[in-house]
Amino acid sequence: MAVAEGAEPISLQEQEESQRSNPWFDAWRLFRRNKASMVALGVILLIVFIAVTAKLWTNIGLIDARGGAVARHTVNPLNVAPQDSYPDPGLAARDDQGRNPYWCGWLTDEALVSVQDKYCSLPEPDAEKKQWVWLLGADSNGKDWLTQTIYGAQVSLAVGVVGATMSLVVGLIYGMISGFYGGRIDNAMMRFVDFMYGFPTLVFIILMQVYFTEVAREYQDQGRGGIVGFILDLNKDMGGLLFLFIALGVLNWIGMARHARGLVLSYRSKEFVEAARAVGASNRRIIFIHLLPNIIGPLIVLETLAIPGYIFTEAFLSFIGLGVQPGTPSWGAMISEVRQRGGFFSNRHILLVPSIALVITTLSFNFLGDGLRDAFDPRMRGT
Amino acid sequence: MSTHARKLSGGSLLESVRNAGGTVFQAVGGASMVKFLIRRLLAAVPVLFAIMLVTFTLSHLLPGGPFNAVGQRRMPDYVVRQLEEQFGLNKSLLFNTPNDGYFPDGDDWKIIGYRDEVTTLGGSAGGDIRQETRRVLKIDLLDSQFFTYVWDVLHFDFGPSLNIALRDQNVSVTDEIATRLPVSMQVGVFAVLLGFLLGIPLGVLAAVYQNSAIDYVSMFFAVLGQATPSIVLAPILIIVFAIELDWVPVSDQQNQWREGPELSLYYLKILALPVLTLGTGMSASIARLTRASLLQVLHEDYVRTARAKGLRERAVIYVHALKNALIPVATILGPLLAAVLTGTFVVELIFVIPGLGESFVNSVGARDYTMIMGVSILYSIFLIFGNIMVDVIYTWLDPRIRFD
Amino acid sequence: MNQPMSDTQADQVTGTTPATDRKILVEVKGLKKYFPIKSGILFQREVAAVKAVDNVSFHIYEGETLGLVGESGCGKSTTGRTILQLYEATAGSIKFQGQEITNLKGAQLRKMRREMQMIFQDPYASLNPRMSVGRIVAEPLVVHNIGTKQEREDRVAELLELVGLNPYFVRRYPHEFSGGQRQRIGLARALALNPEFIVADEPISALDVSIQAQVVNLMQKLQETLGLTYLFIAHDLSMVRHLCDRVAVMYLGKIVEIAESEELYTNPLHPYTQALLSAVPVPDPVVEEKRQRIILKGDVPSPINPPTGCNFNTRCPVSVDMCYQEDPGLIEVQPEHWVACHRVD
Repeated sequence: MAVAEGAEPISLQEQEESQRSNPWFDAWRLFRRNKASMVALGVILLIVFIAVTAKLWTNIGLIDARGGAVARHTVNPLNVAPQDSYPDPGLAARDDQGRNPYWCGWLTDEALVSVQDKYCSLPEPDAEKKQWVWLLGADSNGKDWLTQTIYGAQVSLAVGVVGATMSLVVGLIYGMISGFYGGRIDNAMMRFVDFMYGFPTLVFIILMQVYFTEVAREYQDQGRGGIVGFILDLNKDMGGLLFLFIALGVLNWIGMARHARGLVLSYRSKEFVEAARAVGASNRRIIFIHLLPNIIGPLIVLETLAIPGYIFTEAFLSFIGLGVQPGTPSWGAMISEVRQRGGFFSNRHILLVPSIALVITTLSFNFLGDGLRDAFDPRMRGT
Repeated sequence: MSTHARKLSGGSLLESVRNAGGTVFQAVGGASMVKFLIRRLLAAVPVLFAIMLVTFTLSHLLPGGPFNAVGQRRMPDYVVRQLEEQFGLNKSLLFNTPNDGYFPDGDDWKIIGYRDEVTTLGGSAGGDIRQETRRVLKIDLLDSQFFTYVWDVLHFDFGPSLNIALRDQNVSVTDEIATRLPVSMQVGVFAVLLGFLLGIPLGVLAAVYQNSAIDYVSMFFAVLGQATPSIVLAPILIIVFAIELDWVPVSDQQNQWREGPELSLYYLKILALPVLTLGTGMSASIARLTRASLLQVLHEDYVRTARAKGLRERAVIYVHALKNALIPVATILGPLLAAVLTGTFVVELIFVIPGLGESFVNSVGARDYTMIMGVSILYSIFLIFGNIMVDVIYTWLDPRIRFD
Repeated sequence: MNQPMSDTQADQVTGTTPATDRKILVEVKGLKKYFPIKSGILFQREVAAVKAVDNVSFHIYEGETLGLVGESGCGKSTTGRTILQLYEATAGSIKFQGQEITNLKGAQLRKMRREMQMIFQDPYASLNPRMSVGRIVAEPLVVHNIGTKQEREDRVAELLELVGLNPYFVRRYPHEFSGGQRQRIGLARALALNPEFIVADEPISALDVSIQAQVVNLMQKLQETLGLTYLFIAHDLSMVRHLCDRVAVMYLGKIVEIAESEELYTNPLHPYTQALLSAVPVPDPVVEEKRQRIILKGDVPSPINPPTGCNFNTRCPVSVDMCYQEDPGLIEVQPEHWVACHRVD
């Protein structure tokens, strides 16, 4: 890379090339070479696309057994109760003992006529009637499992991205202030961080989630309004995600703040910052022009690698019923439903659908983070 | 423990055994370590207090109380009131101000002042009672639920469990934790062991045969292991090993967890799946960390020197490189402790293990305040001591780092 | 501990009329810079201080180059940075063009910064890796809000040409340049505001020997054309002799000797200066053969707790009782030749 000493003339072509060589572009070039990370990036973009356009894929798992016809039953997985005259096979599909052990069956225009055996094979087509089957089954409310899995991507991505962004922003601001101003401010701020380090995160997230859910229930019973009512409504519209964001955000910025502070400390004493000071640059300029562009890369890498953790936490909380609101499709809640309905013993493919979705998503974020780390810090290559 | 540390910090084991006391003290940092420990322990006190305050406030903010209902049936108000008085829940929450209307003995409210405290010493069958009256200094402001609790905790009394099933049998939180903690610990300790025993060799193999098939395969599984949460892994393990192969039971049917560990085939069987679930993720992280760290060390000058002087590759890796490469791996112990705590929640729920995680989730539901507090404090202590331990281990392993 | 220099002593150092009528640009009097060391179990309190610069006085004439030499850690960089107000002085006064600058704040300080700039030792750390060369050189102009965008671009091109770099390089990033080129970029940045005075903190120590001469020659050429004044901090004594008009020798936070360059090299008076100079190889085999090295015993004492009396007494080959009791002030033993030693008459 180094150019020969002195002021030799430079060709125009060379100049054009040099325009494209800036640190961000170099990082992208390095990243592009990492095949696994590029595939991961593609997978994530695909998941994002599917999640954003989830409405288009509604009932993708409902197939007309005769072939050809378009599914017309609207399933709205964000609401507990089906919105239209859609029959509730959860009730219809009870077996002799009154249990409802099956997730798959088939529908006619009128109603669910038959419940399939535990392996959910396609029924015999009947030319007379329109017949609908669930490709991958349905939940106890008769909602298409595949559609729910797609909607579940919304929850997981939202939790991962919002959780990471919140912790990045809060941790970055906190850590930068602490590291940049140093002295007593730093001492006090870092004492607080040390302090928060002893907090058992999950215990507090569980307590907060229970608190939020209970308060929401109480308010709903009493029909109260006001600001609290508005927030509760908003949370309800978001399927319980708002409170989940808050619970995740309150504690997860701590580690980020520590890293940000460490980076600021190491860059603050660099000579280029001193040069800026000698020129008379303001603190604001030093922070935004000199420090931030240098420390943001490694922090984004760290947050990318932390995304699977947020997704895990949401899945776990939903699994124990403290995550999203009941009825909001979430992969954790779906696995929990399979477990509660004895799905370990039959209809195992139903367990696999949300499981695979979960693993592919976290796997992709892991590979993406690794690739980003190698690209931003080539010394860490292959580690 | 100390001799072990000396060995790791560079001297020979023999030498350290010979001059046991002094050398070891020096090796582990001597006076500076004592100072460091004192500082960290002192710093832990306000943290614990704050955790108690936040947990206490948060758990009491939850609507409802521990006595409001038994199953589906609502308790009559007077019963609730009686129980609340019995367990001291009628006091004000954080501070007892005059406005709260709670006056300890009908006297005037004072911030601080003497009160009579009557203790019954004994008596006779005739009906007379021997009593002793003492004047004790009381702080009315702090005669609240929270400070009473803090006072009790300072005396190592974590109160009775308020859970319906337990309070009738007079089970204290300490008893309940004492029966449940060992259960969680068994799973946790074995999982950490599995993590290290599987993770370190895998990481070393991958680093030594870098960019070979061994490396790619082991790292693929490591990344996969990291990306698979317990709620996915546990059902898969259950389906494969418990249901299809029927090698192990889905969950403990013989009350073995409660009765305590007893080395038997059955014990190993019920332990296997929870430990695998928890340990896989750990070993994956450890393997990746070991590989990264060892690769870095293998490029250091002193390793090059060791090779240059003609040492066998084996000696280079196991004598010179690995010891230093394991230093960063030691730091994972802290997050690992947290992971064990988090992990046990899931694993205990899925495998129906009567451990602490299960107990915590139940006690939140039952508004068992004392139990919530007890478990939270215990977890915090684990975390705080885990963090201190990591710093100490780090300093033992790397003589360049000083206690500061 | 150190016996503080009395006012009369300080005046004696710099207050006397210099032999020539040259104008003084920078005047440093009794400058101290202590870095506190904090410790404590719960609350951090100051337990000691690193006395990086301990009562230093000297002046720099307009248009000259003053060399500041000494072992690493003797406080020479700290002195340079304190003059530029990058560190806040613990005590003492710094006058620039007759104006006291230690108490300047805000806009006044910013204005003063236009007059004095710095070039740094490490050409790899002194340029922001995320900024293009054009932005780096233009930064002083942007900070002081000088000129339009077009004017700034022209100025940057002019500056790059001035330091011998192709103006086409503006869009490139620091990592694409060699150490010598980076140092030129640093120079261009320092020159952007047309300063009077430049502190050069070991600007060539990190460079290859072949490139050192290029940078030094460039600095000399710029001094002639732009009338710059340099404080040249270095530990390479032969380069200092070549470049500097006067030289100050520092040891453990204090100046032990100041003299005109030729005078100092031919007639060193302080035993520390003598020891330093004896270590410089001479490019004449006959002289080199006879060169007697003075090897100092022991290590430099800690600046946290420097020796009482003369702070060189622990290593001095000629120390006497008085050296352990009294701190020798800088005394002008010959015109323009100051030395701090009891043994010099």
